[in-house]
Amino acid sequence: MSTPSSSVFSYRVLKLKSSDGEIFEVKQTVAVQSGVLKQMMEDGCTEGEIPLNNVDSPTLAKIIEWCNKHHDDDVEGRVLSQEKEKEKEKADMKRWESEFIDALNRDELYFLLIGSNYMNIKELLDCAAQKVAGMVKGKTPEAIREMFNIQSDFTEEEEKAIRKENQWAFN
Amino acid sequence: MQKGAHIPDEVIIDVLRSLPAKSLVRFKCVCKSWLSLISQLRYDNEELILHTSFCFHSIDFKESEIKQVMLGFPLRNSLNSLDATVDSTVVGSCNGLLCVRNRGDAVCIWNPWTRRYKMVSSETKITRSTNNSGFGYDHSTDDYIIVKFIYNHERRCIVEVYSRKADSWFQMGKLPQQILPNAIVWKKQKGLFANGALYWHVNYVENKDVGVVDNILCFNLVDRKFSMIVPPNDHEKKPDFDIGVLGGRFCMIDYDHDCHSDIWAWEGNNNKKGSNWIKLMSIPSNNYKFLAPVFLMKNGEVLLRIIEELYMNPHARRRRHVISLYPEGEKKLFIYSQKHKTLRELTISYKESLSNKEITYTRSLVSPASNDGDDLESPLCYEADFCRNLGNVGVAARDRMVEWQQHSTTTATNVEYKQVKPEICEHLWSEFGPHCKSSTSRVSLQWTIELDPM
Repeated sequence: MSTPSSSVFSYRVLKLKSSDGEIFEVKQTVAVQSGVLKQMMEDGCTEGEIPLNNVDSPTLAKIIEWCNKHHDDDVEGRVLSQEKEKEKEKADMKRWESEFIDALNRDELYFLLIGSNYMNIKELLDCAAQKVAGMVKGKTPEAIREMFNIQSDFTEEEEKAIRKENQWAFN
Repeated sequence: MQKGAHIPDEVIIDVLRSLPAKSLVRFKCVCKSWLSLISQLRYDNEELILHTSFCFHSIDFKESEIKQVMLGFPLRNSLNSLDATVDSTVVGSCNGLLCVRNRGDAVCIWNPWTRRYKMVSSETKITRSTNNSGFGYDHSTDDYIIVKFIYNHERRCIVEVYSRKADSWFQMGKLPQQILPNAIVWKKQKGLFANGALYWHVNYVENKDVGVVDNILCFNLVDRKFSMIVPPNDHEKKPDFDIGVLGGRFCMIDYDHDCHSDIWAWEGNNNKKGSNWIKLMSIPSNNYKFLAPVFLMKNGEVLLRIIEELYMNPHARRRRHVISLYPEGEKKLFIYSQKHKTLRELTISYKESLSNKEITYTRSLVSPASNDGDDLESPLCYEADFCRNLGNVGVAARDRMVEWQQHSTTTATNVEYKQVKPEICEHLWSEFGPHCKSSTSRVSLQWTIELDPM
């Protein structure tokens, strides 16, 4: 941390407990990216272990990796001397993000979606949602049901009617 | 998905929001919950678009640049002549649908995002209609309405109303009595749509004693009746104003002050006399007195433009000084910050003739037709006109292409590009030009645009 005032907080850590009981220690300055944790910090109820019942340990590890990578960016007072440098940093981050997301398998991605939504980490959620959108676009409804493990609850007639009404989208 | 994990609806919505229209419509039959999520999907990003006669530009305010959205206007393809469709204009925009009209008076309702359009049935053509049509939505009957004005042989103004549901035109909606039907002058070309009504800025002769009156004509789409709206009370006898729509509210801007202009929002006729207008803000005029509101940005800033009569009409003497503000290839807009009470310029450079009218547009999945299968697909292609006489590649095409992408082996109609560079244009021309349908001096080559049709 570059400014002395923020260093007071930077070494304070939160103890996050995943759904399968593993404890992760995260700096407050990193954890603040999660809307939920930020709110808890503001309310002063971050003593002890914070249970995250919807997030398992592999997912939480991923989420923390993301947050660690991103937390530096918003530090005030860090002025990059050159526009170019800023640009480059942005591009590097973009590359890192896409590599991070691309490395996940489908289930990991789903759990990351659910976890980042649960912890309210908007940037990560957006990034993961984009990735999923890229995977589903152009697919048939049948493929979507398979991907998301959805059972169709339409009657045959109902589905026919929807298809007929939107015939152009099925061509 | 394994392990029975359930993806919450709000996350599904995030995913759906990033999908192209065609996928979304197809996914309506995945299951009931998806159907409901997709049907309720709202896009809250209102965009400001400018258009040429055949393609769209959406404005990127951060970069002060025009982002090209190259979509073929539907009418361009339906009539096979290049010239007849040169001036397709957008009559109006509402709920993600645009009403487009070309010079040959052909009209269609078009959803540019789903790329579906529906031709509006042609009507008896007594004479050509005026340029003052309007397009809007009647929420009481879930119907889209086009209003147009026709002058008959006695030069009397007749109103025709089209209902999308009925798919036909009706002669209806008498003009307010105080307007002599042959003495109306339209100050603004198209009707503006806001909260269930269309609005026009008009001059008319009230009666022979009073002379010309400057007023706002309103057509209520629910009861299909016209009325006149009188500008706010503290107006002088000779008001000087313009109209616009900000954030879905009908507004007027009042120029009758030395150093500022007031923007008023119309609250409707329901209120007691005199309280129907609410003052939204006062804008410092600086050197530019005649600015009209166009667009309310998400951050609350207001986009304004110099009203076009200023440079269209050099005889309007008191406004003439503003003409010089429009150098070629630039469009000047102004942004007013309500927070800081400042006005700043925004210059947008462009390479071709843009329509003067800015259009606000919010994407939606609304179908342009009320019956299944009644709509058609608008061209994904944007046709670049190549003029041999200009040295192979037309100027228009040259300027909007940046980077050659792929598929150089197919015929010209399948060429895909992702913003192609001028050199590439030259290359394309040499490769495909000879295969194109050619007229004497003009060849049209189709480009598949960088838009995801999935």
